[in-house]
Amino acid sequence: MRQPITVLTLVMTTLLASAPSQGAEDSFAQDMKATIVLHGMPCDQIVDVKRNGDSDYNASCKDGNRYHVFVDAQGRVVVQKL
Amino acid sequence: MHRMASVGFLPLVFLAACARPGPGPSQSPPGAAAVEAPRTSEAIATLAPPPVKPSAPQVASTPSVQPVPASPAPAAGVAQASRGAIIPPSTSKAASPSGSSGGAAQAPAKPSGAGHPVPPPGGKERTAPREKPATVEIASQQPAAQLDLAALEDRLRNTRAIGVFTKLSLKNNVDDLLTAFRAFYNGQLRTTLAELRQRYDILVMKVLTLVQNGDSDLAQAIAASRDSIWGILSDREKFQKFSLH
Repeated sequence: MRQPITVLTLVMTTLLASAPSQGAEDSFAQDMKATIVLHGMPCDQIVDVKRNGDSDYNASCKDGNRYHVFVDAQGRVVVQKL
Repeated sequence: MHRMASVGFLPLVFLAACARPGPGPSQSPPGAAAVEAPRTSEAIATLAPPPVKPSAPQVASTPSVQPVPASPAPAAGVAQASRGAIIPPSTSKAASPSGSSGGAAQAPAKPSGAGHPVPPPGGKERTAPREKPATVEIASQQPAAQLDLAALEDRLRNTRAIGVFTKLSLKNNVDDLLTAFRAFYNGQLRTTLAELRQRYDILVMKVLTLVQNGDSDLAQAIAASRDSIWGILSDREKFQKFSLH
């Protein structure tokens, strides 16, 4: 009985610990997607985001589109299709 | 075996019978709450007044501050009507972010917001809360709109419904639109107010689309203040005053 309980506890702990980070990733992906779509570019779902620097990302969408999303010197969000 | 079983069940039945009355006496302390519940359901107005009364003095105290905005009462009639509809939700929601004068304008709106849900049960106290907010709203319509804008701005900044990049993109769009309005009023941009209205509508729709799932209250507040914001943008004097702020 002890082993299943410990395994269950371990699983629950892992799930609970990973939940916030995954939520944060989801929210960031949503942010990226909303930003891309706000600029009139198509993107059905974000599948990958790579950070190039401060406020500088490369986002890959599920439909194959890739975008360079960054904030320029004037403080404007720029979305460039790659 | 059946006898044995029935004999075995008897103590259980007794225990169950004892257990039921047990909670009864033990509920006697909670019984007070149980008695209060019917009271509240029967006469909510009698219990509701105590919470309302403390807020009423706040209203009485705030009008001393509100008469100041009473002077700029003359404003667009349509916008006034819409503002009157806006004030309750926005002020009741955005009580925290506003400044001192914002609190003054919001405090009176609270009783009105509280007064609207209360009306169904209580008939006596309907009249008192209704009259006070009505006078307050009439007295401070234009400042309320300004305060709503400030509150809306704060709420948009602080909402978690949209991310940082999205907020920055929206801010860029808003800045672009304001620049277009500025150029339009300065005669530098050859466009019509109808086209600017279209751009404004699209921008508001974008904001609403982004916010409505994560922060429906904010979306409602924005939708409610849509016309009053347009009232400011489409009026050159109001826009210039607004851009000075």
